[in-house]
Amino acid sequence: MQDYILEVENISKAFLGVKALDQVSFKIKKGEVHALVGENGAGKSTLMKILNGNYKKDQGTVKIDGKEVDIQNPNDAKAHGISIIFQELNLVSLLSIAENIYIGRLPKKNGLVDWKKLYEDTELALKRIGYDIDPGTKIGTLSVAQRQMIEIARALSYPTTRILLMDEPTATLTTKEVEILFEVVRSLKKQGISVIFISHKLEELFEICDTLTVIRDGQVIETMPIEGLTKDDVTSKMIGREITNIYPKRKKTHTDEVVLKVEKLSHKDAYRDISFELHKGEVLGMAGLVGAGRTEIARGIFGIDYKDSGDIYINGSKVKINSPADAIKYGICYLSEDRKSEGLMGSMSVKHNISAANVEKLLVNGVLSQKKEEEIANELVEALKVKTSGLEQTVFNLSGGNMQKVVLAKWLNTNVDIFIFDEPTRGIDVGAKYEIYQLINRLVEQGKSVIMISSELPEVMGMSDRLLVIQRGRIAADLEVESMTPNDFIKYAI
Amino acid sequence: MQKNNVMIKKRFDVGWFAVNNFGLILIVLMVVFGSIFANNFLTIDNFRNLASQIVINGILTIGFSVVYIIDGFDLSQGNVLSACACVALTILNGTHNILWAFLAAAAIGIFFGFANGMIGKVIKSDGSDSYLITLAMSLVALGFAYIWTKGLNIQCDSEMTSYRNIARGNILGISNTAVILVVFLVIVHFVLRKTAIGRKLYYVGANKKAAFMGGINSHNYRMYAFMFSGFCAALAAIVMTARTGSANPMTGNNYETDAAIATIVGGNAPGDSKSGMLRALFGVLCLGLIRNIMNMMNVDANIQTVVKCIILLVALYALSVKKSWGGKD
Repeated sequence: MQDYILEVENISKAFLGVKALDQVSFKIKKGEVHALVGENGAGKSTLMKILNGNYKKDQGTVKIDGKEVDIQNPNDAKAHGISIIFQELNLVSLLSIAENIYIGRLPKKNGLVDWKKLYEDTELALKRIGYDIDPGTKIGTLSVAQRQMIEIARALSYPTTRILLMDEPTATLTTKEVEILFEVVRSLKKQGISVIFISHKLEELFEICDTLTVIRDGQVIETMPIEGLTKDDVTSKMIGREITNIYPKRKKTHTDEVVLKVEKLSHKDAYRDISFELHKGEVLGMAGLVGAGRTEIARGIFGIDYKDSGDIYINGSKVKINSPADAIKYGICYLSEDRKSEGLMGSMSVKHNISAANVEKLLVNGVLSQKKEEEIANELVEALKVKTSGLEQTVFNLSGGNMQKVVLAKWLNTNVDIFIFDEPTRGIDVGAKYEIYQLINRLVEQGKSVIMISSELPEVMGMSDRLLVIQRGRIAADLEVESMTPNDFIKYAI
Repeated sequence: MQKNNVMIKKRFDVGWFAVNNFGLILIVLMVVFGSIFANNFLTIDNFRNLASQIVINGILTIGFSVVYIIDGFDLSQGNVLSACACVALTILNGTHNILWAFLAAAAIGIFFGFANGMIGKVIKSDGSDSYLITLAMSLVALGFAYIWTKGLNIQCDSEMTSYRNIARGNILGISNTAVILVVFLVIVHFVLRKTAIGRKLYYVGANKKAAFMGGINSHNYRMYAFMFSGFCAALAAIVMTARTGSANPMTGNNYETDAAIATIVGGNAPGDSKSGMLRALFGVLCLGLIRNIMNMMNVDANIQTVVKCIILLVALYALSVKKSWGGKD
């Protein structure tokens, strides 16, 4: 039994009477990368927080090296060799890398900070993950991926660290950055450090993990070696039913009628000479590397940001769009990649969020009608199958997928015909993703048109009729999806 | 474990009620306390007295709450009130026309509110910027009042009894000013709850960026709220000068503090769809009762200020507890 470094037995945890974890047990071997998968709200993050001492467990035991340990707070966890990297990065952007890594425990000499030792230690910690950067660099100047690396370096800088918990470390990284991260994880493995890896991107797990534990509704469904499993096996275990097709089929809906035409749209810092046509009933994919300018183009069309030049035509006539209000008037809407800060009024109810883009619709004789608001909201909640305890539910208490549905409901409540989805499934679990895809299909079947921006190539290829490849602020290729391969994309995108 | 859960649940419910109805509970406690410890508290005269005492704070709090709902803070109210009061009396004395005096005060108040909002729009301000903007504007208003009056006290022309009667008269035994407050409260409540512009103010307060992306010109709506707050300062200035018959640059000094306390003690919060005039009224009543009871018990004015601020801090604590319970865990 000595080869298990961490054993979790029968852990349960309830929040205000709602069970988040129910008798969870699993074991981690030394030097193993262990994947933890499950839908949003399945209890993965809660489990991580219990192991790290952020939450107290209601019952159950945690054993390290076969001995039972009591973890009351994050410092206890560190003392037992457990370090965590959270989904949200916890770095201070005004401080340097070195100060962030040793925050709260700066080396001291004669009561003053020993800067020389601090920088030496930091260089060592960075070298450990094979990362070469000046320890004095301010965090604020680093990219998200670089910050992620610093987080890892910090977690490993505790000399006792033997178990590293990573909660969706790749969510914000580009493909290339993910590769670097994986290199680091592999080298950790060689050093005998165990890693618990949480991710929604199943492909990644197959690449890096040895063992996989599936959690559903706070219970462990199964722990198994990852070899020999397929993506569909894992998916069906996660959601408890078979998914036959990841991308739902739809009838051929696109026509030749041009609803949106963009001509030579340019912005001096972000993109130039963007010209394309969007047809009625079509899903037009927009793919490219992160930072290629996809989001900026969408924001330009929707009137959020200033454009230097270029024209936009709606149904053949030229229009001026200087604000989102203009865009909405011409029937365009934009579903931001950042739902929480740009799409929703988080502290408000589902009902109020659904009305947010079209308050005028609720007026009866010039007065807001509560009854009408509830009717509309009820209908949309029903139609989109939003899982909510009621129309009064605060939207921030919904899961990612349901938040996205509320945003969509808000736009369906207006008269828009062109939907621009920016990363519509980011941070959303597999089951809800499928529903979002179905909703997109339903939109085009009703004669609406969709522009879909996504960093996940399989997704954007699976859903689109046509694909625009954006490379460094310009359109590198306009491809028919039926006749293209992922290699075509790589060729144009880089 | 099961037992443990039940306990959590119970504490949750009672506590939940307490933090959600902080103002109401405070009012009940106050009334009980007052009727036991203060003589003559439970008399009709005292309640009439109370009703007219709260009017100025009440009018200012209406404006303050609206600004607070859009996630702003208006520290200029007090000095804008002074500026409006000085201008109103000068115009009144010059024209002997109440309407002109009112319009002049309203114009000054709305202008300062417009300036607050416009600066916010130009610098694309967030909630916390409005503290600084309105603080600066407050000093501008103070300076303006000093220049306008040359630092002197302005007396209302003794012929203008009709103007003074605005504060002196009563309708069915209730003072005119209290009637003005109630009517104003009802109108603003209607606008906030039943019109598109009112609803949009809440959206802007809850998430300025998301409101903008939903087609609402957020900064304009923020500006409307500040302009409205300026108008409230003007209305309060009319009531105040009608009551006292005089105005000087210190007339409204520090009145914004009481309005802020009443707004927050009442339980208002930025972008909170349950915030509004009812909560503003709770806050105003709380503050009014505290002052009324302590006056009757002959409590020193400085101690009164301390007590008010302690209540504000408790209210802020209740608000933060409420926020943390509103979260997911």
